[in-house]
Amino acid sequence: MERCSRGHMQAKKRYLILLSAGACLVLLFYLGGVQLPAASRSRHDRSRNGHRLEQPWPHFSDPLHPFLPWDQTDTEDYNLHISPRQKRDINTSVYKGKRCRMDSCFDFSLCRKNGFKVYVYPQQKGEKISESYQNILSTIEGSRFYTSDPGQACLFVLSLDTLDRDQLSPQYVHNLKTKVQNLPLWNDGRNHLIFNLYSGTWPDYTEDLGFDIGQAMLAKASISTENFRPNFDVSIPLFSKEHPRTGGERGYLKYNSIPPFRKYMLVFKGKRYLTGIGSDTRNALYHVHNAEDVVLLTTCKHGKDWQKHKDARCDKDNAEYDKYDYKEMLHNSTFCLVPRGRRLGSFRFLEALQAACVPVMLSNGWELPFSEIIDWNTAAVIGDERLLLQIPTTVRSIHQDKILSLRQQTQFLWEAYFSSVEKIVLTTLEIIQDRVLEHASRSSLMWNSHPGGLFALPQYSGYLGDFPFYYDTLGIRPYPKFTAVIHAVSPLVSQSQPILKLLAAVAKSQYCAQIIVLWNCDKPLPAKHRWPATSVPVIVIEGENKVMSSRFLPYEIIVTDAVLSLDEDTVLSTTEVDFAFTVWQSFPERIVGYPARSHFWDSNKERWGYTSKWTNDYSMVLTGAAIYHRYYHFLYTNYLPTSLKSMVDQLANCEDILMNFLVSAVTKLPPIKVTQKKQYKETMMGQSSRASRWADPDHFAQRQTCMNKFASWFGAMPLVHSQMRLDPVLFKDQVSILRKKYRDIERL
Amino acid sequence: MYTSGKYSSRGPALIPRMKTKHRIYYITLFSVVLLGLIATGMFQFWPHSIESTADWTLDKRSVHDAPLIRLPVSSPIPERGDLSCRMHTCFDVYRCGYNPKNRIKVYIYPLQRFVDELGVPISSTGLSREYNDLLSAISDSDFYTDDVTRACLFIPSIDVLNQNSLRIRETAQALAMLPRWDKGMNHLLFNMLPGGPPDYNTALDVPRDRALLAGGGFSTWTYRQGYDVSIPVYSPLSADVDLPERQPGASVVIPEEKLSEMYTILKSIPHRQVEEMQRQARWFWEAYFSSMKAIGLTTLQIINDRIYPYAARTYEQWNNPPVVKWSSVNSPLFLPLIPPRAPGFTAVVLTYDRVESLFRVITEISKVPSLAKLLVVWNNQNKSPPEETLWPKISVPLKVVRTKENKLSNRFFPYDEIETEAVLAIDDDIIMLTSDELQFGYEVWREFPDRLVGYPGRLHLWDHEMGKWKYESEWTNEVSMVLTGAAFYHKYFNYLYTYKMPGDIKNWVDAHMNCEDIAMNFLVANITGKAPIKVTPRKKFKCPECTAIDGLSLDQTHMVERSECINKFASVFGTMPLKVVEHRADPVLYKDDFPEKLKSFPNIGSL
Repeated sequence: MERCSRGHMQAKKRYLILLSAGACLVLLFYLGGVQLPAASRSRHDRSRNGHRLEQPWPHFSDPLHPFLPWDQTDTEDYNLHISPRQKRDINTSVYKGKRCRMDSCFDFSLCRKNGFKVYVYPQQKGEKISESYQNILSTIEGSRFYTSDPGQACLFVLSLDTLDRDQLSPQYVHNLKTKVQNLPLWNDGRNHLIFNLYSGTWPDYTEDLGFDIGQAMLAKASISTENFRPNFDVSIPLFSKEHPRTGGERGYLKYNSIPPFRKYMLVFKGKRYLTGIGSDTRNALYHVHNAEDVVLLTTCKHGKDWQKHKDARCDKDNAEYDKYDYKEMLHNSTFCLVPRGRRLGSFRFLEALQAACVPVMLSNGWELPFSEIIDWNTAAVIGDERLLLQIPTTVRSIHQDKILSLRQQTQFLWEAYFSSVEKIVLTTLEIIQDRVLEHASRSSLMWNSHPGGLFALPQYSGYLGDFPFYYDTLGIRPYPKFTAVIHAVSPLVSQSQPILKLLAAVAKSQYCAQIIVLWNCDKPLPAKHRWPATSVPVIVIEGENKVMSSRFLPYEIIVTDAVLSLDEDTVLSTTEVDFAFTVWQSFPERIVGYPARSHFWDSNKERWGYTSKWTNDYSMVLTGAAIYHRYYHFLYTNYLPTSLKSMVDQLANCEDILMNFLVSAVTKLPPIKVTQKKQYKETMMGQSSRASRWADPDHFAQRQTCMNKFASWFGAMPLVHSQMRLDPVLFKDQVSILRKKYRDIERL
Repeated sequence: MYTSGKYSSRGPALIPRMKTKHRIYYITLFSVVLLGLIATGMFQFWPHSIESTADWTLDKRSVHDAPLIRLPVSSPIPERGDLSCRMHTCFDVYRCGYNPKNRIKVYIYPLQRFVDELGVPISSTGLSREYNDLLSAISDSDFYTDDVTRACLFIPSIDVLNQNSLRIRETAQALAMLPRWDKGMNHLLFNMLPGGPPDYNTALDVPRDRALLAGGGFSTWTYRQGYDVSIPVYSPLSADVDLPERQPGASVVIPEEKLSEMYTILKSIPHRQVEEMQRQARWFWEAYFSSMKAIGLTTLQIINDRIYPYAARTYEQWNNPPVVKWSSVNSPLFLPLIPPRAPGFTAVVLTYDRVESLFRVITEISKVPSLAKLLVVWNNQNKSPPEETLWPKISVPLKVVRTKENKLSNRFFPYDEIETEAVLAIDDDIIMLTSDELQFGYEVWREFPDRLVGYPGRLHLWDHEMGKWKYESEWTNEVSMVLTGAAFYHKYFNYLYTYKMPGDIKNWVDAHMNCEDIAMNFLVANITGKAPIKVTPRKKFKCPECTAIDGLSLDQTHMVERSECINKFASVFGTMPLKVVEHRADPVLYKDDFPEKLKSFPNIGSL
């Protein structure tokens, strides 16, 4: 028993020990077993974070050869043991097919002599031209690129309407093939530009135009990347018949709301094609629709026999479709889905852009409009049709700041390149011009930032810092001095003439670099000694043809960024000039001036009115005394059409109004009025010198006429009102005048 | 560890036979267990030494150790590439999928040495130094994955940088043999010297199905836009930059036909532009093309941007050298817009317990035509705001927000109650501003919605003696700040102040109960690069008896503290963003000799 019990005890002990050993083992296995996969997993994790434990690419440390041995002869014959025929077969072309590029299909020599001039074929009798195409042609004819002489032309545009090449369309022009071939200047389409909005027809909607375009360039809507010849064709947006010829509506964004979310996150409302090309994506939209903030609606009800193809979803979809209003959705959504239709592009794209509803592109293979120059990632979300189901997650993941910026960019792009037929056509031409004059082409920044490529002319300068628009982006400031340009029209007879006083006052300004006297007087130039001695150089130049526009010519002798433009009878003190210039430095893209004028809509006469009365607001400052950037001289001379400039020259009037129109069209902002002593023209007008055009009773009526003429050319009224004037900080404050830097301004 | 397990599992069977020697047995058992534990411990705590040994052996690995693959003559050749290949047609985007980081995963095939049936290698150089550098750089980057199933992009280890060193047919066969080749889908090849004599093609002649090509020397015919990537030809001995893509900022492109005019064209480029181009080119070179690593990672980033376009880098990010970024500003409110008058503004009054003064302020502001809503931020946690019935009766909604803590930053919180774009921040003791002055301030803000538009103006000055910034509230001719005790600004800046204020400025302001206005001025000036606008003449804002100098307090310590704020903020921002101007905004007819009743804003500057 004892033994037995001892044995039992021992057995107990042994089991205890065994148990503990077993427990240890279990622990061991547990640790080992768990640790091992954990270790391998953590290695995996770490490799994901970049701290790899195992180097996947071995970083071979052997002494390797460079890929380009200096003794090329060794390798040159390396392939020689292949038969020449074999080699040729492989070598002939890496890719299937070869197509036009500027270097091969465009004759640059035609543009060398006369620059970038565009010829439009004369319209033939009996040829019908659609309204849209007529708008395109008249835009070209009204532009500064136009030439009526084919011998001077660099680019040719057909008068045959090629916009609608859908055979089923009533606008379709028949026999285009022969008509085009018979054109004497056709030359296999070389240096020709063909505009097209629609091509192909039901059911496959190919991009064939139905005639041989030869070596001509295409400016085409809905063009696919497969057919698009990069840097040769131009992708244009699809626009409707109603798209205005000039001006165009402004974008709908009135202010930047914070947070930037709207009622809906993502919307779409459109047709669903039950069969045929382009139906896949739209058929799948209902998967993503949630009837709350993602509202994607389709209808089957279109075409004659929709009920024949009707599927199970149609009734439900149609009912849902009718519940929502397209316009309401467009204006209240953060993102707008732009899926492909039968063709790649759709009107919806421009509609969304104008409505500041950020387009979400679902149109694989669509070469987006003006893709050559527009960075669409800054204004749209480019989705992939194959990843439709991810779209809601994708758009929700976009940061608020990015939405804010996308939305503003839609508005910039809409107004810069899309809001009118004119803008679309001019953008197309400018893109081609940039290719032709490659050394003077616009940078991406010029195209993609305010005020856009149509207002930033690269011929002015290749350096962005020479323009008034990019100081902030470049982190630089305008040159801190100005050039005064005095417009002289009366002969120099007495030493007390206003022009001499003005010259002296301006020359005394610490910011004055030089003074240019533009001699637009019929009398010959006065002798040099007649001009007062000043500390800055005075340069007298004779006006070209002595016309009004010559005061805005981009004279090369203007070396400063700022121009102080002056009439000869302007009365200004040095202090006023100094102060105005410091203000201009804060607003280098605007006109900063003294006497202001205003425009208003005269609803009785249904036209614009002009007023020089004292009002609580203004929209123009007279360029008889104003500071602005010298770039506007270049723009005035090169951007504006001859018709408006010659009108100004003939009237010898309105040049200041035209300059204000131009600058406000560029900036979309009012000019800036600064403090002046109340003796300027307002008091001078009655007693002014006989030469003053302000005394002329017709003067005022002319200006009224000018306003309306200009507004019609711009297509809209670009002038903007302002209610403020900028004064020196201590202006008329009750503090000792000795403390005031610009005390002379309030002394009178 | 494995052995120990095996050994001890046999343990129980031994026990009966070894009764007498149980001690030895126990000792053995325990030592085995102990050894096992130690071994486990070693495995756990010495992983680095183990791994680094592996590293070391790997580093020593030679290209000659790579497996040899013999290519049968009949091995298939990929098709010629398709010129119309684009991301949506020839690239399988499903492999990349949705990725919260918006970053593609790149797999590199392990190195193999391909030879033909006779044992002749397919390339005369084999793996080149440059290609090894390139692949090493990619494998060290965030793009890399060693998991072939998670990869979105595949890079063969077959070196095709120089076509002249390749046997074209065999190289093509080798490509087709890659396990994931699948018609070249999502495969990326790097080539720098395409086309040998006699044709000198401008793209690699190796047939490659749908594979993407990052190549040097593309012509416009062979470059598949939006699919291929144009890269420069790298040569460590040459500093010539063969500019890829189209970078007008850094190169002058002259058509061959214009060669005769080249001199004139080049001469016509302004000097500053030449300098700019040189700087730009140098930066491009350094940032993107200076090494194989830079070329490789730039290529991947370009492809990444195509796959996740909504997360793509902007043109400016690609093109602006950091030097420019420092001083350049791209205002988040960049669209030139004059918002309509109609939505009006929301007045936000910060108050603690000065109820009487607060009510006067409310009554005054309520007379402003464009006031849309009044928001009172009640910053006193110990006291409740007055009963609803006691508040002044005004015609616009009045809301009271109670805060959890008495912090100055509460005034700049982007409350949901602020439904207008324009915010008027106003102290509860600014009772002297007239309705005309406030309405005019709002009109000016509409013309400058991206700026602070305020009444009392202040200036920062450089104190030469002390060598630091100084705060100035005297009658100066210049202004660089406006006090937010009475200022209009865009609601967006509330977001910036609350969520994007750099460094510890926000906490500093709350801790010191001072300088929130200076902080706001810094923030706005820094992001817009613009000066604030001071409106209307200097006047007494709090009471007719007060001096025209205002602010929280006039004592010396207060001023010293505000100078300190400027210095602190300037150091946090790393720059002095404030801009000094010499103008203020007045109504067009201010002080003009004109009947007052015909002026829109006659009551300006009165006491």
